[in-house]
Amino acid sequence: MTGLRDDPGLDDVAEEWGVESVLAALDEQCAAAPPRRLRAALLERAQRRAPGGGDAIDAVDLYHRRITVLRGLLESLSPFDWERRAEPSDWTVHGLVGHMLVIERYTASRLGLDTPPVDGVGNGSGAGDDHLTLGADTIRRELGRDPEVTATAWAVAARRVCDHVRSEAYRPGQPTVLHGWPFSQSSALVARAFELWTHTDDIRSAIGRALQRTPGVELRAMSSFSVVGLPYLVQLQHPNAQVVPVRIVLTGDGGGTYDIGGPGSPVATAALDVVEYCRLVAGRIDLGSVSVMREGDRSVIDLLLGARGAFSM
Amino acid sequence: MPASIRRWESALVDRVAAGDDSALATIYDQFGALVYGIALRAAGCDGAIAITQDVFELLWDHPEQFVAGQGSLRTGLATVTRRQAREFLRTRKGTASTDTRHSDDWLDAPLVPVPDIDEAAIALFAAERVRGALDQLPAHQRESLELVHLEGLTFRELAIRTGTAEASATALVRRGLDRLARELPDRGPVGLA
Repeated sequence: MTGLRDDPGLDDVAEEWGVESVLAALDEQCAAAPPRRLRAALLERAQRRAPGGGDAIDAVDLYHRRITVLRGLLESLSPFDWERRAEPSDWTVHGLVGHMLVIERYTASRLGLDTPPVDGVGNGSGAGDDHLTLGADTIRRELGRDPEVTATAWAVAARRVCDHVRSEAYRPGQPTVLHGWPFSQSSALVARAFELWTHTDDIRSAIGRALQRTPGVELRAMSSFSVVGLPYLVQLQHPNAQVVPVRIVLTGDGGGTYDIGGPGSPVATAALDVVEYCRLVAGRIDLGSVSVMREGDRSVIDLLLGARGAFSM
Repeated sequence: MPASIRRWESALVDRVAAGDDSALATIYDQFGALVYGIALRAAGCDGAIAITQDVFELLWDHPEQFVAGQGSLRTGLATVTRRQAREFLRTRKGTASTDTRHSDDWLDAPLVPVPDIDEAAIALFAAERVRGALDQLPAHQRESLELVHLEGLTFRELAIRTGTAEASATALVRRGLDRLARELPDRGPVGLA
């Protein structure tokens, strides 16, 4: 109970009486369209006050940064580099960029942009669009062209998405579906950025270059997005598994502490490096090769860290 | 509340806790009109803007406070908004403007589709049933309830206004709420002794 206890009002007793939902239902008649500027003003204030402190970047900036990095890498490739196999996929680097061209166009369509048709798309709802088989005809066609033409086509597609998400037409909170997974448009961009980050590393590995350090703000944006989705993935992949509160501590620049799996005291705690975490959920390294400090129920931790379907691209 | 909506809300709150401002935007798009409307009713135009910002900042900083227990996020936001409005009026000594017109650069936004239609539809359905039940209450009980809910009177003030004992006024309101609660989906009586 809160407020003036010696002279209580309805709000003081609502919780005790269990009528908060009744009052909320009565409040529905008060709903009124807020002022136009209010949404932007409060989001701006929120962005200046990132929870847990530290710097933060939004999904648009993250996506733009990853596009920029990958574009720079592609411009530096030699003709020989394009023919290298980009593990873990079966594609060459050229084929992988063809795949990214397809996915960029697909993402654009899921954000509401008109794009060249992507072959292999299902019924248009986003459900059942398999990530790896999408656009197989397009990729085959691109492989018959100059790799730099494919890279340019990808850059054009990515630029269109960038322009769109920086325009008034962009609706960050609007829901969409990518490859059967529900996203907001904003979180779809983070997922795209995550994939671009992963494929940038794939290409660097393929051509024998050392992996670059990723800025902490980018790691934080990608990991915070993915870590809170882990319980959801566990439920999808293991419908009978019980999701329980777990604390995930990601260490290093861009790390953070996340209590996931619902309210209550964590039954287990896992601590691991934030970069290794990102590579793990991207499916680039196995759980067995990651140094994870575990406390509590190990099986719960392994179930969570093994659930990576939406991020493993 | 259907499990799918509970999961949707829970995921949004988790994302807010992780610092995902797009989740905050989604919650605003879904519930902003409710929060703003409650604040507008209580504190007028200028107060409503400040209260709405305070509520969403509180959500950003302490999302766990909005989904305590089994309550929905909608209920949590409405409850916190009423508290914030009362605090606003207390600190301003009840002198909030009752002007509901915005200056030109704060024009009302056009209505936009909410992110989760099902959640909004269920809330509206529940509200419709509760309002229907409200109309069925005896006039003096309905008026008492509206005085404490819409005008924010305390039970003591209600007793003075209606010329009854405070305990009687309190019991009358509670019985009214008990009847309204029966109309809520997934809800039974509030347990009035």
